[in-house]
Amino acid sequence: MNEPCPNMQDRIADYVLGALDAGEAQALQEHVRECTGCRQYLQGLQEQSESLVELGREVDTGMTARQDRVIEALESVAPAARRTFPSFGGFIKTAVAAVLLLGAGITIGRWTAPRPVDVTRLRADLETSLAASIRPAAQKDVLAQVDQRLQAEAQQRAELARQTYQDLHALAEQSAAGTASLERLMNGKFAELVEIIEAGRKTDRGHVERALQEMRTQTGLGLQAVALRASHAATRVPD
Amino acid sequence: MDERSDNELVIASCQGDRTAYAVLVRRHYNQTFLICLGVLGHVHDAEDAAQDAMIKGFQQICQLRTGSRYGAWVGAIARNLSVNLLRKRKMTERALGAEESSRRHEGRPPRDDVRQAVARLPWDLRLPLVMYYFDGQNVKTVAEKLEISTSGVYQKLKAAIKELHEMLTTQGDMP
Repeated sequence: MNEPCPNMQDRIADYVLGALDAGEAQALQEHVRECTGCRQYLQGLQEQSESLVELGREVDTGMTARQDRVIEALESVAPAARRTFPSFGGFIKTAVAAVLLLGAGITIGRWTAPRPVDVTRLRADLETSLAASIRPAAQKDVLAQVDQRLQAEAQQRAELARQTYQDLHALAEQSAAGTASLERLMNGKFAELVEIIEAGRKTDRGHVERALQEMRTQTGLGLQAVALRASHAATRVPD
Repeated sequence: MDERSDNELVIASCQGDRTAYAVLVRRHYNQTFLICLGVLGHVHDAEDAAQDAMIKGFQQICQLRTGSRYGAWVGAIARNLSVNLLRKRKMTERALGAEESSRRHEGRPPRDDVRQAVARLPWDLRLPLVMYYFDGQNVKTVAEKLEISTSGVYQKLKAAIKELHEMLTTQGDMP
């Protein structure tokens, strides 16, 4: 068998695949009439193509039987499980962004607002200082106010968590509305969440300032200095 | 013949309607099977992989948000399953390599035909080749199904038919 011209093999393959325009096809036909190697190569590729088409027909004959087998096999498969949170592309991206945003919000909140653990410590410090320096009636009054604020703060955090859960649940249900609208909704909800956290932070600061003011009124500047030190410890950046 | 759209059938399938999913199987099985055959190169392997892909599609149908994309979605499942299967098979073949090598030295090279030569092509060339020759010889359709350009499909096809020719003529028995 003669070898085809090395620079003609690609062109012959293009011709067999129908990728040449009329002028190029005409030129190739003229060449293969003169060149035995290229003519044999072209014939080889054409016969190969015919064999491939034939093979395709052969494979195709069993398709209906194959489909029947799949449908039969499906009978023993449990139906699709419906998911509350669909786990595909766009939603995952949104959810990851949401978690990061939520995490950032909580971290900022922890940095800037008195933490429950630290406020408890503040209360303990105050109790110790008050026991030593003010009369029992005033001590009881100030401690009652601290307890009341701790309780208010706990309620506020519980409400925030409940609202966040409800929002996420509602968003998951609305996921059928499409990724774009879902992302807009998520963005809106998390903007609200950041606002709530920021408002909580301001409220907490206000509470501490008012508590200090009341302490100064009731017990004088000495206790305020103790409280300021404790407050500073409570609002430090977590490790 | 069921005239419901793929999207409607996907929604019904998500609610556990096997009859709706059976219609999707009838519509999209052939393409799914050809993808598996294109990657794996053997009909029996392709039948198993295509069936697994279709069943996996049923189990995960609720994750598909755009029902009209069911064909491409289940095709991607089929392709991933087949590529993973091929990798495992190649690992097994490598593990048996010493034995095969000694066989090759002992006997004559086996006679090859088009089917076997297709099975020996690299899968990234075999896939467009099978989809082109076994399903209407339309480059544009293959490009859409494989999500590559038509010129990319031509390049792959050209490489595939040249390599196939090389294999068949080296063996000395053109079909």
